[in-house]
Amino acid sequence: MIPVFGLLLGVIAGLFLDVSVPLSLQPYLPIAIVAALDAVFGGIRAVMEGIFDSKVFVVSFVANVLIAALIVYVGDQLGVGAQLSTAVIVVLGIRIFTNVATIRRHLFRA
Amino acid sequence: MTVSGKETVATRPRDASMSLLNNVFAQPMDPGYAQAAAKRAESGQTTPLGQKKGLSVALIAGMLGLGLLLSAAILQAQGSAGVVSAERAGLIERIRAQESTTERLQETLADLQSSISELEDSRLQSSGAGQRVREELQLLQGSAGTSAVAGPGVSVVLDNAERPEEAERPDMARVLDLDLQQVVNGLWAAGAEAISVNGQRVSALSAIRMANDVILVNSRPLSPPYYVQAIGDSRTLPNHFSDGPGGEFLRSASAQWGIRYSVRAEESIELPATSVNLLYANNAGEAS
Repeated sequence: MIPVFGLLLGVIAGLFLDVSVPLSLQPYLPIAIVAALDAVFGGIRAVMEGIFDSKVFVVSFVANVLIAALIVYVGDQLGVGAQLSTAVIVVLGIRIFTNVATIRRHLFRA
Repeated sequence: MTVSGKETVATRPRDASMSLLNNVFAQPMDPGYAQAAAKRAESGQTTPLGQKKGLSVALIAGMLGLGLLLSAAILQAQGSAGVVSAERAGLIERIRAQESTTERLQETLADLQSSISELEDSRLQSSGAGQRVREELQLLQGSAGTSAVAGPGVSVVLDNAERPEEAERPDMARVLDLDLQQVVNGLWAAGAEAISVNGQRVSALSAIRMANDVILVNSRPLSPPYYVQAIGDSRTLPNHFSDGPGGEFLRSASAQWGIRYSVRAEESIELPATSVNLLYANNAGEAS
């Protein structure tokens, strides 16, 4: 329950503080969000399975976001940025779906 | 050799070429969690070190970061959408302004042209020789198409076939520039004295042509149905037209491609003027 409040607090803080992302970083924002979602759902699943570890979570969160952004940045420099973003989103999307499905099974036993 | 080769082929997993996808599906969670749990089990800790605390702080921090990213992205998307729509609105406004300017200029032009013809009239009416010149001028302007004319005549309405896209040849089921050319030429041949197509007066400098599936007359785009109006003897003009090449062409186009048309005699029709500006052609007597 408390993590949900954290999410709400983050959204509200972002809306009120008017965080402005530099123009050069804007293309990487959606990818960073998908990577963060992946890390968060992985963490929630770990909590459900009783193997949550805060160090692993923080490291995976930060590394996910940075690596996803870096891959797209390198792709942009090579001229295949759109294709690499698709690749990142496909892989992370599959992981998010699988994790959410497992979370759902833990929650509803179905 | 061959047997063992066959065996290796047989034992190879069927989805070996999809190992990447399988890997993604099999390990959706970071393997680090399992490793950390295994380490804890080895060192004898049954519950992870301060799980309650670790869960709340780290996970809340992660959620906070996710929330910040989300709201930043939403704000960004809204901001860029606002810029795009504002640019659009600005462009539309400029187009509107230019259109109204063009309209105003055209009105001024029409005003000036009518005042010119009024002045011409009043100057020429003052003398007997001028009177004759004025009548001659009116006649010439009527046939050149530079003055509006009225009189009895005939109107021919042309339209595409009922469903051109379902026709055997959709390109032929629409009214083409060729059809309009045939009708206009047929009307001239039948004795028409002045012709207009959808309000565009056909003069010696008019062209009926097609560009991008749109028929242009006097370089103005027209849309179907096409009203071809011709001034002439309303008793003989319809019959002469129907018997002539124009009528024959229309009948065959209607029978073959389903082009719809109707020919009707008119008591009185008015045709607008067109502007004929000769830039290079001078009177031969004056030029030499």
